[in-house]
Amino acid sequence: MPLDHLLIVAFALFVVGAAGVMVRRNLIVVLMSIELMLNAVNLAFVSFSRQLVDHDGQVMVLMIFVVAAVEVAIGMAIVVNMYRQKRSISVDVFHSMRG
Amino acid sequence: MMDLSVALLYVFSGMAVAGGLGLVLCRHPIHGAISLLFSMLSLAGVYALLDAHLIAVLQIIIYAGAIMILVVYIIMLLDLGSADAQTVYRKAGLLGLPLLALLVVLLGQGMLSVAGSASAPALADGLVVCPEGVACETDCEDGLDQDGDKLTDCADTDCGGVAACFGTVEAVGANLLGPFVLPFEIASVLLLTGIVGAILLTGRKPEELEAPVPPPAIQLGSIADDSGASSSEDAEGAA
Repeated sequence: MPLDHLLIVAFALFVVGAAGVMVRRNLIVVLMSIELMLNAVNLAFVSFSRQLVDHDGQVMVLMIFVVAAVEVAIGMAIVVNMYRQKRSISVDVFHSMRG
Repeated sequence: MMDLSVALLYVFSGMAVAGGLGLVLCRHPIHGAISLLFSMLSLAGVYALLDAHLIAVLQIIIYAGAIMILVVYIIMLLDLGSADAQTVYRKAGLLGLPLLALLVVLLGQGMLSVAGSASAPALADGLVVCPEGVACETDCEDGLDQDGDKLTDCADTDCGGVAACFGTVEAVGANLLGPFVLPFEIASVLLLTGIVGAILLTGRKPEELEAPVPPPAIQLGSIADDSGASSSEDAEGAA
């Protein structure tokens, strides 16, 4: 499979994730869309790593794993706190910081 | 004639994108979570076919096993009925579509620079040709120590440049603890920060825990009594 085909897949995953962040209301779905974008970046890293036969890209993927795990743990804690406050996790409910 | 592994690569890639679409299009978050899980497992297959074996296993353990379980757990804990299901999509999100189009254009331009690229180079078969009269590791994939220096396969420097070690735990681990040891340590600090942050954000404060439990409306001794007895007690208190 040529490199550009793999990059097209990563590109599609990233755009789908970005669209999910923009149009969905549910905060948990927004967080999961961010995970999808991180996965797309991982795929690009692994593709280049395989193409160049170099392990540096795979080490970067391990770092992204750590960041994603921490992001989900903190993000879910914030979501639970927001739910305790307003009994909803729709992003439209939380507009108190709007100017 | 397409190689089977290449065909599988296309199949897994398509499944990954389909799972991502399911995440954005499914109304209920639990369906989206299952779609994302499907996408992540497909990506693990892609990684395995790209010879990134360690990454493939970690993708299943960390992403599918830990992160998605946490997400599903939170979805079920919050028990969001159908309250949010009526208005799944944000109208204001349409304002982001020009931004998305810009993203597509920019990323597409970047991809044109690699368009028509060749397939990844084939990896070596792990066999090393030893110089005359020198004992060395001749097979880097059999798990045996041929030259008797207590180092097997990829750990032996004889196999240093051989791509047979690509994506193995040994090779990636040597890279992680070699040139990338500082990011590795910083990642551990980040994990510690995440643990402390999650506990601080979700845990109850100490004063909440130590607050006196409000007394129950009915004392244990008065459960057996009828209402008349309790009303007479009230009368005594008033007197």
